Amino acid sequence: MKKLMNSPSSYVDESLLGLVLAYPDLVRSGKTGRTIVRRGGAIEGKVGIVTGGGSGHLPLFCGYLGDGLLDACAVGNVFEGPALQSCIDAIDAANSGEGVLLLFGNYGGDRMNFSMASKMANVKNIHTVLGTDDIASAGGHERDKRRGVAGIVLAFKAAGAAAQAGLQLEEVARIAQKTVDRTHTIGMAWSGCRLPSADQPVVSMTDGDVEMGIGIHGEQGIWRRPMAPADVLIEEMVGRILDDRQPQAPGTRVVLMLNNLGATPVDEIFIAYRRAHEILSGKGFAIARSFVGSFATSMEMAGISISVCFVDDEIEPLFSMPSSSPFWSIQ
Amino acid sequence: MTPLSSKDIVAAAKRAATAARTLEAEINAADSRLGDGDTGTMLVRLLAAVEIIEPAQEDLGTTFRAMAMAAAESTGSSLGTLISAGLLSVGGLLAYRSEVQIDEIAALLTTARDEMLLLGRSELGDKTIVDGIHAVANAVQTQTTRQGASRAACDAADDVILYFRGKPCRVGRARLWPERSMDLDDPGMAAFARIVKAVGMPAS
Repeated sequence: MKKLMNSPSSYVDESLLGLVLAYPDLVRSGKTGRTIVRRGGAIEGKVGIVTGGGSGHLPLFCGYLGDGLLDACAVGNVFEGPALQSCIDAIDAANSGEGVLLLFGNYGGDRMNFSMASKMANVKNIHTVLGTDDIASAGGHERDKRRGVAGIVLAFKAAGAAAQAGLQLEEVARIAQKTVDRTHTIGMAWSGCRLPSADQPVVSMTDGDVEMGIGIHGEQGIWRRPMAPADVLIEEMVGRILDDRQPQAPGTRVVLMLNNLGATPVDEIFIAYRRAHEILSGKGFAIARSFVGSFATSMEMAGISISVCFVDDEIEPLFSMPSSSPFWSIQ
Repeated sequence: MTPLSSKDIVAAAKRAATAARTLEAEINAADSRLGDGDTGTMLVRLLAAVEIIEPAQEDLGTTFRAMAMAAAESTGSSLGTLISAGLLSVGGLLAYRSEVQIDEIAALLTTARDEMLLLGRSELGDKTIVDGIHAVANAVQTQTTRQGASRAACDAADDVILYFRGKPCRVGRARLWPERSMDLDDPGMAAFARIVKAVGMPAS
C-alpha cells in the first residue's frame, strides 16, 4: 500500500467525511452520501449550479461550493464519473425554482449520468455546459470532443458570479459557455499517479522524462522526452495555447491560471508562472487576473497545467467578483 | 426449450461476478494499456452489487431493473453506466414476464445494444463492448437451447475480438492513440467475452 488510506473501498467516503468535518459549510447529502451541498441549501432567487466528476482531483470538484461559485456536486469513485443517483440528488438540491446549470467536464460517464439524471430529477429547467478546455485531448477541428481539465474552474467562477448577480439561467449558461470557449489548457507531467485499488501507476514514466499534454487521468499526451529547462517547456505550452486560440475570441486581456497537478513544489509553479507571464506580456497580452495553486489535481502526479482565458469586457469583471469556498476565495 | 426465469438470471449474474473477481487483475492490466487501469475493479464492484439482487420470481422486468439500479449505484464510469442502461432497457422489454425463451435472447441483446449506442453516442465498429454484444446477439439468433446458445455466444465473443485486432478504437480515451489501440483488445470487449463464458457455464 503506497497511499495514506485505510482501504481502497473506503478511500472516497473517508475523504469526503474529512472534508465536511473540516469545512462545516459543506454537507454530505443524497441517498448515497455522494452528493455534496452547501449547508444552507439552495438559495432563493438564484440559479443553481451543479458540477460533478470523479474523486482524485480535489479541489476539483466539490471544493468549489460556496458564494459566487457552485451549489452542489456529485462525487464519483476515483477517476470515475458520478453515479446516477448522486447526479439526481445534486440537481434537486441546487434548485430553488430558478433552474439549474450543469457544468462538468466532457467525459463519457459524467455526460451519460448527468444526461439521465436531467430526465429523472424534479427540475424542469436545466441547461448543460461541458468543460472542453484540454487542447491536447483533441484537435481544433473537434473541439467538442476535448476533455475538461483545470480550465473548468474559470467557468465555475464566471458562471458562479453571474448566478450570484441574479442573472437568469439562459444568461448564466451563455456566460459559462463563453468562458469555456475562450479557455485553453495544456498539461505536462514528469511523474504519474496511482489509483487506490491498483498495483501499478496509471501512467509509468521513466525518471527524468516529461510528458507534454498529459491528461488529468494520465491520458497520453503529445510527446514524451527527457526533462528540459522550465523556460523551454513553458514556451511550448504557452505557444500551443496561443496557436489554438480561436479568431472569434479577440482582445488582448487574459486570465492566467497555473495549476499544480498534485505533487509539484510551489516554488516550481512560480518558476513556471514567471515565464508564462513574460511570454504573454511580451506578445502584448495584459494579465487581467492570475491564479496560481492547486485547482485541479491528479492525486500524486508531479506536473502542472497552464490555462489561459481570453477575456472580454463582459466576462473579465466576473473574475474579480467576491466568492468564497473551502479552496478558493476572492474578496 | 427450457426458458429462463429470474432465478436463472441472478444465478448467471453470480457466475459473472465470480468470474470478474478472478479476472480483476487481468482486466485491470489490459485496461492500463489503453485507459487508467481500473476496469477490472469497476466490474467487480458492479457485479458484486448486481449478484445480490433478490430475483423477482414473477417479473423478469423487475429483476433486470433492480440489477440496473444496483449497477448504476455502484459506479459512474462510462462502461458501468452503459451496462446499467443496457440492463434497464432489457427490463423494460420483460416487464411482467416470468420467463423468457432462449430464442428471445437475441432480441434482448439487440435492445441493450441500441440503448448503449444511443447513450454512449457511439456506433458499431467503434471497437467497444457494444460490438461484442452485437456479435453475440447475431450468433444466438437461431439458437433454441441453452447449450447451443452458450456455445454460439462464446464463439462469437472470441471471434469478434479477433476481428477487431488491427483496427483502432474510435471512441473514449483509447481513440486518442489509434496506433496503439490497433494492436490491443478493447478491455470492455475482452471482459465481456470472459464473462459470457462464465455465464454460459452450466449451472452446478
